[in-house]
Amino acid sequence: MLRGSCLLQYAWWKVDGFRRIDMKRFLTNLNSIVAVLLAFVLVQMISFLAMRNPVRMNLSGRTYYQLSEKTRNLLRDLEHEVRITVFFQEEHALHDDVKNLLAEYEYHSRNIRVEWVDPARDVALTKKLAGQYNLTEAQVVVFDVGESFRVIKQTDIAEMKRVKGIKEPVITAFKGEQAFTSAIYGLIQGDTPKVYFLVGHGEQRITDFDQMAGYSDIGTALLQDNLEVEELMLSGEKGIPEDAAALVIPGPSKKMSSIEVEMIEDYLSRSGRVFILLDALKETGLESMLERWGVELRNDIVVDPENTLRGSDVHIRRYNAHPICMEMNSIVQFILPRSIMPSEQAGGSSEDRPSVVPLFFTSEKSWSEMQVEESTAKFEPEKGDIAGDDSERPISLGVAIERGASETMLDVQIRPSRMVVFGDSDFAGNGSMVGGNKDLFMSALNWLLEREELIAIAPKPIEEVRLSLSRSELQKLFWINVAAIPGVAMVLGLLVWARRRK
Amino acid sequence: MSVFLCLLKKELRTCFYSPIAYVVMFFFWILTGGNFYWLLINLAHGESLTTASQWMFSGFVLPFAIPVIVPLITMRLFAEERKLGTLEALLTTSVKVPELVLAKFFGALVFYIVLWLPSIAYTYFQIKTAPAEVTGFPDLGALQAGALGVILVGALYIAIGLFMSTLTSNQIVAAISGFAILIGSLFVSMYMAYTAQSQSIRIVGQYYSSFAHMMEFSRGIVDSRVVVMYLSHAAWFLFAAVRVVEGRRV
Repeated sequence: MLRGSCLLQYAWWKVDGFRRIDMKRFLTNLNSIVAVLLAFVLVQMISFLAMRNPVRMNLSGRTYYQLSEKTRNLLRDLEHEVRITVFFQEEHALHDDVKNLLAEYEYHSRNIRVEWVDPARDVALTKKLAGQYNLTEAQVVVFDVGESFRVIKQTDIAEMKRVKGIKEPVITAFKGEQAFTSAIYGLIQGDTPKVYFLVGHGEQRITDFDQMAGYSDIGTALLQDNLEVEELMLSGEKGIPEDAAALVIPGPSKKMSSIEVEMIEDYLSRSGRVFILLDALKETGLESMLERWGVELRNDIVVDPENTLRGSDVHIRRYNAHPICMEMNSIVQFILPRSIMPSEQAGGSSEDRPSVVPLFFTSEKSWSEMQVEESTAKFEPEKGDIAGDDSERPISLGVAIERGASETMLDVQIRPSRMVVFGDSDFAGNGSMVGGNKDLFMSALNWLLEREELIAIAPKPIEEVRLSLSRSELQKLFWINVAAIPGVAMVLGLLVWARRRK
Repeated sequence: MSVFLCLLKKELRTCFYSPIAYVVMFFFWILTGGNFYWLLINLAHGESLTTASQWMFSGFVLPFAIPVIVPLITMRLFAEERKLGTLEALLTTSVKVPELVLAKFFGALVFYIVLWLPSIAYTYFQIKTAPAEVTGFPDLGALQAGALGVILVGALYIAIGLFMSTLTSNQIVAAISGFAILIGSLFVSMYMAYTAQSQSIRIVGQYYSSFAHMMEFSRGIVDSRVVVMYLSHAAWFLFAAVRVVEGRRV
């Protein structure tokens, strides 16, 4: 205590020894430094507040990176933290698009954490994460919610096209939002929907790895899409399992027993979801049930000389307006398909009458051939063939059926029954995974599972700007921009200089 | 207020009467003109719309040119007055120090904006000679946001340069310390934002990286966080400059 006061007295004596003015200056400086430091703290506090309440505007007229309402709603309600790791080289053509898009995701939810890893530079980190996420290729985006993760490849982010003469594929459309939002949605959904594949009647098997006929590729695609897949044999069962999110009946070639058909219809009526793929000239036992649900089956093969390569295949180009086909822009190839058309009169009262929507049509030159035994296929209307150019009733190869989705239901939300019927099963086989075949299969399944959210964000065409500039125009602009305008500065400078000299 | 206007007028007069202003102008206009010409060459071959609009105000050259240009504008502000002894004279009058600092700041900002004016001419001549086949280029909204970004970045840099100028009576020292701080912070924040390993360092880097901000502004994105960052930090440097000059008064 005593020592302290002594020291203070000494200090005062010492300070008093200085000239008064220095003391004052010292105190002012100290005051200034403290004030500046306090102001710095204030600035950081303001910054922090600003960070917590961001407002982001897009002044440009472009909506290229603007998130759709679906994505914004998903992000707003996001409760889990989603860690996004981007493995992209800065030189990659998609790098900027992915970056700008993810910046929007980050803005819309605090639970989004984006981390960038350059696979060419951060080799150690890349190796570590590649082991953690089982990565086999670079240029991917990984979405991780802790217990599960999903890997989005560059082919999911953009549509690419090979162009003659250019080594790298050319990007034609950007579908980053669709891919990212689907990934987040799939991850937070938690329990994975279970899809059963019916077996026992000569169906296509997801366990069949045959290069042509097997369905193993479809099985893999379902697993990657966060779905659980299992085969189902009905003979030992009392009905379709309770945990079935959807039942796929992929191309049965033998007739089912009426009890089995009853089980299926019973499941369907209890808000079930059934995906039936029928092949031409095969009787399955489902006919009467399909008829009740408003589907007209003909014992035919659809021939379309305009849209075929080998004669047996039919390329589908005309899509109807339905969520399943909304995004189909590549050609789908069916092999010896049969027609699947909405029947002209579906029975029942208007309330529970299923709404049957045809999904895609064959061309005007096509017809439905009934005399399949004859060696030459000819359009013979007198023998029951129908032509595809009937605008009232074009030939469709697939329908989507929904029952019980009417808006007039009171407060009770009843899940509608949904069924999709296609006139071919080979199109989704391992040997036919070309064009849009897989997309169509997945799109139909996603509609059945009510995962339309996953499919309804349209890809954005690449926005490119190209000026048609001739060499002379370019030269003119060079002289204006790089010579004339700086020349103005030089002339002004010389004028000022001359005036100052006067 | 009229004192402020008088000071600002005087400041502008000195600025536009100095030959160095025109030297800076000449070289900067060659740079922006060349940058735009480069963009035109790329557009003739087809370029993505995002990249094209980013090149109007950002790209690979301009973010690095601004930290070089700004200290050349600001080095004179206080260092010259101190060297000539006019600052002491000015401080004995009734002029308030914040007024003086703000007048010098806005004087430099006006000159800085003049430096960017030819961008309007580039766009005009491009539309005249070769209008783009797609609508949306040049995008008026993106140009406005880009201009706002350029002004915000310039305001912070000028405030830093002005502060450095109050610390010394030597213009060269003011300019070189300005370069050092601006270019240093540009590269450090870029390094932190893009290549740092730790996530938190990256966030800090992204918050301060004017390179990243310019990329966003020039494609039309205005983010309140970034705007607040520039304004608050510029205000802080101006406040620090005021305290330094007031220290002279005693």
